[in-house]
Amino acid sequence: MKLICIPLLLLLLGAMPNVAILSDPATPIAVVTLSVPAGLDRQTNRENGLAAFTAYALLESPVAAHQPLTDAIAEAGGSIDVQIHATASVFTITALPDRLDAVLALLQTALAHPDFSATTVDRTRAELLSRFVASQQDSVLVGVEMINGVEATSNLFAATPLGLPATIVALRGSSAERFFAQNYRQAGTTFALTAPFATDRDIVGLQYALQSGKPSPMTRAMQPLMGASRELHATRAGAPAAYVLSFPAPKLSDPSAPAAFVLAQMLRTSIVSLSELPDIPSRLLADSAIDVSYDYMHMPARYLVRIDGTLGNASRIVGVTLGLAHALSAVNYHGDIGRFVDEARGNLAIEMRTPTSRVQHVAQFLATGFPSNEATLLDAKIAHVNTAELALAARGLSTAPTIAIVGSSENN
Amino acid sequence: MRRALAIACLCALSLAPASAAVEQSVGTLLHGGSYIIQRDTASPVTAIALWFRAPAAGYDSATPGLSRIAAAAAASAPLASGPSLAHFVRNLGGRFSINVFPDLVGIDALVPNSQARRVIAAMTAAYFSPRIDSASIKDADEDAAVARLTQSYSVADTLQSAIATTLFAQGPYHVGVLPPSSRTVRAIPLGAVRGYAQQAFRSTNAVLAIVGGVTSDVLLAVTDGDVASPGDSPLDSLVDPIQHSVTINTAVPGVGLGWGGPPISDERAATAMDFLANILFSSGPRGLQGQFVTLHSAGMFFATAIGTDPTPISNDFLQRVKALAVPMDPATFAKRHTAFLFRLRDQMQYPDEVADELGWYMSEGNGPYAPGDARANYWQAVISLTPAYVASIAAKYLATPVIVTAHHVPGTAP
Repeated sequence: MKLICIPLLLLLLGAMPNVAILSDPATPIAVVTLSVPAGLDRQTNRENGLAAFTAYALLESPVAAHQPLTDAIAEAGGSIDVQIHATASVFTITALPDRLDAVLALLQTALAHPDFSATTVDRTRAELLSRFVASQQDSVLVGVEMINGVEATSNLFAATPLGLPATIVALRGSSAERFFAQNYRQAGTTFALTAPFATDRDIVGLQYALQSGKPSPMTRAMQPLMGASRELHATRAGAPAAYVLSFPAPKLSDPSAPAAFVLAQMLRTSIVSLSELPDIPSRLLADSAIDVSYDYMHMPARYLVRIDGTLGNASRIVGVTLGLAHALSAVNYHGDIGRFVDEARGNLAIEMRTPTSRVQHVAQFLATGFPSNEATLLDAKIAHVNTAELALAARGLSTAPTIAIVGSSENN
Repeated sequence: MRRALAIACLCALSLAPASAAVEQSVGTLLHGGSYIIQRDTASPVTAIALWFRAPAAGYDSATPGLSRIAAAAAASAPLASGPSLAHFVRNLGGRFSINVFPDLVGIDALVPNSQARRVIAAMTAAYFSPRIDSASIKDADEDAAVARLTQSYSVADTLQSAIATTLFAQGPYHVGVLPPSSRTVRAIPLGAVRGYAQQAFRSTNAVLAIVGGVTSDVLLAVTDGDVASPGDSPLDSLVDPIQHSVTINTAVPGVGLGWGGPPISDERAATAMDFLANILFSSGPRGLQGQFVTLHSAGMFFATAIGTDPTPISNDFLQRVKALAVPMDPATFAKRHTAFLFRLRDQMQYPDEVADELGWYMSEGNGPYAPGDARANYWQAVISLTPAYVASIAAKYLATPVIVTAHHVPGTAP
């Protein structure tokens, strides 16, 4: 079996210890990520959503002629987005190569002079509420967040990334200002970028726009959750029904992690086959109705089975999934796994088909403490998975899963 | 821009690369048909797009959904080597999809580079020498049923279809792309589907677009085809000179607006329409979406507003459209022009989107104008835009729209 050529093999460490550079000479745009140690772990339950509130306030901060950062960057030939993770807020900046300097200068201005005035706070609040409402129409996402709430290893990780409407409206600019001052610091911040259009010299300005020193130490101990609930229910108006099942999976640092990618494909293919779903050609029903992933960036790592209730008999699919999980955890599989290996490698390659996704992938590794060079090795490791490793990766399937059921309601 | 009226479509924008790093090869397949290959050495995957000029309701416009049934059946029929094309691609770790438009059919595969050659061989065999049988038509019927169900959840898709059938008086865009029911599919004789597939999917009527980490050597994998018959011309739809307003019933209220636009041959005007769409839809309220669809003859500019009260959104949109008929000041124009350039380049990241664009524009009759094509006609057109010219295009094409009003009717699917 030939190896897939993944450009991450070209990954280098920059002159600064916290910078990863991906060589991508044909990229049509320049990509830079900035990962700040300001994730869900830095906020309290009472301030659920503060990490997102602070990050979005930065995006709304006026930088040029009183224009919000996001709009100013768009007019300068780029874009900026942010994702809130358990331990970091990860900003992704993309730009026309010849406009990268101007775009980064705008971000530098915002980092040096973030605005938490009433006007900015109002815009931020409206943006977050709008995003929250939109997210509630995605039944599968609702189910995943419900599971996040009960599976989190601590009360802090249980928070929804955008917060909740009740906390969003209560958050204040002073809280965001404090959160920014405490956590948007040089130490602990990491960068990933594409070469040759972006270089580590480009991000020096960003680095020094942040206050020196380390983030404030966390004063609150994480409280381990003692939740025992394994079945969660919710309804959403107008949204299609969805089921989400979560099983424990090995950590990415575990030797059986590559096999977990293969096992996810094996699960998906087997569920589709055993559920006897109509096998349509143009958009395989199962492609839209069932998705199984190895969620290695989540803490703790897990297998997520997402079932779209719009199509097919969702209850039967859940039953098949439970039976299959039990069988795979109890009996070592000795058949040919070549097809599942191909599918896992194909999925990984497709996930990383853009310069932006490749940089974000590395940024996630950096931000969550995994060695960034691990990203370059994943494909080769998956290619050599054997059935013994598959059995190790399947051990978590013996555990009763957490199940989220999101129903459709006309009136709720 | 292309891509309206496909199920689950995304607005696709891209632009010819400015760097010389992209290697391009254009020509004729050994056994008939056109090809274009753009090599992207950094891409871990190869996008393969096979396009045909194929009227959705058949060559006599009498069988709505025929192109979809034939395309899905060809992908579902077992290949000589074993599994169907759809399964073959997925078993190799790839993604496979069929996109059916009123005048075109696009077959897409996205696979790791190492599998590209095998997939090109399988895809061209499945379509240039289709092996459609009753079982594969049954699969295609289920496929269409799922597509109907999916579309019923999308008021935007429903509005788009209604705008097109209202805006165009004749031609493929006046007819829907989906068969109305399974009963109508079952009524189509097997011979009719086979006959349509043999005519529409012949190699000389095909465009093969490939983008990824492969060289033109992969074309040696194409062994099927027939050089005997010439390819079809692009299929035109005629804009109705009378501006209608229609009403439909949906699960959520909505308003659709549609205008006729310039043909694909008028590159500068079509690019100006894309630029206008980028201005109008990149900063509009949630629930508002739309684009300009580039076609061989008249293109289509459309907008849909969805929500509990869409009328204020559409009224505000019409005011913004009207304002664009006045030239922007140079500073504002420069900022919006830069934002447009960025969006085009951003979309160029996706090999599958670039391959799709190359196939679409070649099939609509102007391949070198495809955003993403290394010959850079589109780029030149973008650079040529001026405030006065853009305003003149807005005044010329975006005057009185057709209006489709979607009323909320409880119990309407979903």
